[in-house]
Amino acid sequence: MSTDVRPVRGVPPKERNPAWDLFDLLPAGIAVIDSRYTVLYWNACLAQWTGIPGETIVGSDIRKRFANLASPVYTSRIDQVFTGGPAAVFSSQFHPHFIPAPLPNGELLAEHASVIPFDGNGERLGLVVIEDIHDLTSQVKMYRATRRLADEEIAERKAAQEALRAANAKLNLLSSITRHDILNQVTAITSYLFLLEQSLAPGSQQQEYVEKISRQVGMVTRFLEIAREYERLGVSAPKWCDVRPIVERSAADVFSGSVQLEDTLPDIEVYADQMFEKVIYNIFENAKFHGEHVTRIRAGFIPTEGPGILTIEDNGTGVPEEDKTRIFLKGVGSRTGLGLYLSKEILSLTGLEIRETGTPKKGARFEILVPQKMFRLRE
Amino acid sequence: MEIGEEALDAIKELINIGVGRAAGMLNEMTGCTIRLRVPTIRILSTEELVAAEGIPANDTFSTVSLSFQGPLKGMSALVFPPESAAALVMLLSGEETESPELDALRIETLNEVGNIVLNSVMGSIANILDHHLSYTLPRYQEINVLTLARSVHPPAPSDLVILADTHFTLEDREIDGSILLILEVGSLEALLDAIREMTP
Repeated sequence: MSTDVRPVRGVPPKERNPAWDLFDLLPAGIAVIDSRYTVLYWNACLAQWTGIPGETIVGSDIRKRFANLASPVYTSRIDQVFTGGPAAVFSSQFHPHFIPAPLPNGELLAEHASVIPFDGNGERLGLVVIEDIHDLTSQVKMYRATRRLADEEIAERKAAQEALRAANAKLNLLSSITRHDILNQVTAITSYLFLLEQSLAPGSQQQEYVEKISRQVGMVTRFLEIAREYERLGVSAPKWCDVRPIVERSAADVFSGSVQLEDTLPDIEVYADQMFEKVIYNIFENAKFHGEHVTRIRAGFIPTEGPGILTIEDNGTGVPEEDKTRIFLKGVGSRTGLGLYLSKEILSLTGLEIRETGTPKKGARFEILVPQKMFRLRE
Repeated sequence: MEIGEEALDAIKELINIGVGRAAGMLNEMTGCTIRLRVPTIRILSTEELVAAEGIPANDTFSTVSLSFQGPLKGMSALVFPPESAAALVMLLSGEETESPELDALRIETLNEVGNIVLNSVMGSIANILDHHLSYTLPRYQEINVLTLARSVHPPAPSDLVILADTHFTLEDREIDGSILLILEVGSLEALLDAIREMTP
């Protein structure tokens, strides 16, 4: 369709209003109808959209051209306009094609229409205004589809999280029952070992074997205790942990006042798994059992442009250079070999890291690296 | 201003006739079974709107309003909490209503629903006045009711508001909104005079 299609007015001169010609300049479909639905004016935009020039339609009943407009859904409301009522608006939801206008791709133009009353030389006329909202409709529909997809993904994720939580709870229950059953058996083994040891000649090779078995059984018991302590690892959502009370509580539990705690911490919270306290406890236990002559523990925090560094250092024997990395591996250590390994795992749940940077023979220094968004300093 | 029980009943009747007609149009247009009723009306000053039950003065509402001039001057408005407005539009258009949300197209649809309801109510009132009113185009705003009431020109403390609680019932759901008729000084008297003339 050409944009220079100009309607030829077929309106009797008494009804023509030259001012209406201005409507040809507007990028909206504009028509004027009277109470008998006769078209008095049809602008260039409507001529272009519909392919119907003004000279063809002016003077005819618009309902004859566009049968949809003969439906009571339209006439009951347009009649109201001609009998003194306010303007009637027709949304694209319920009336997407007030004046059906085909597009080159075969679709019909999405429209928002209004019929607005006005006085035309003493006669109440209706100004029909059709706005092209095709692009808006497409964009909103695209947004809705994206939103629906996002909602579905969120729902799926929530369902998966719930399934994981339920599976975790069942595994924990199974683990708890199994642990309990094993401990019962270990208790029985320990009792029989005691009786067996009593029946053996002191210093015999058999007694030496029994002692070794007893030690191994003791290790089994300790592993079961660790399994119990860490069964909550990663089960609950991480939280903001207030560092100072955790440090003070852990120091009191581990050292019972036998070590001086120097606290230079600011008021800081770190975002970590709920077992974060166990990490601090482990570091203190490490100082107690491996530091040999620890008398002082210092806790502090160093803000940097990168991650903040939470430091815990002691004045014990320190960690030999060759063990600084190994101590975080599973099974390394003179006790269970799990404490620092599990500490590293707990911290990694929220992106925190741990390293040992102390000086051998002068003391251990553990540094917990906390990414910028994972700590907050209170005023 | 003292308004008798009979006059209040008559205004309620007029509004109910209007919303009944609007329900018929909405039924025909959407294919849904919609019931619309106004069980109670109150007449308040614009200042009393602050404390009116059911429309917290500081809350933002989705509103469609229509100003009018003539023997009656003021504004009529259909007012919903935004989530109720979205739920209503989505029910009318047969969309899922799990997370009702107003977007540009749903606002356009709400504007039409408001247009139908307010045109019918104003038509019912204009009929007994036996005089045409002139109207603006319907306007959608997200606004608190006090600001809306004060947006009639020129606002005056003595302006009165007819507050009609409005229940939309469709698909076994009830959605509550309000119709506000904000009348400039003297307009309520004109309406009451017209009612008196109609009453035998």
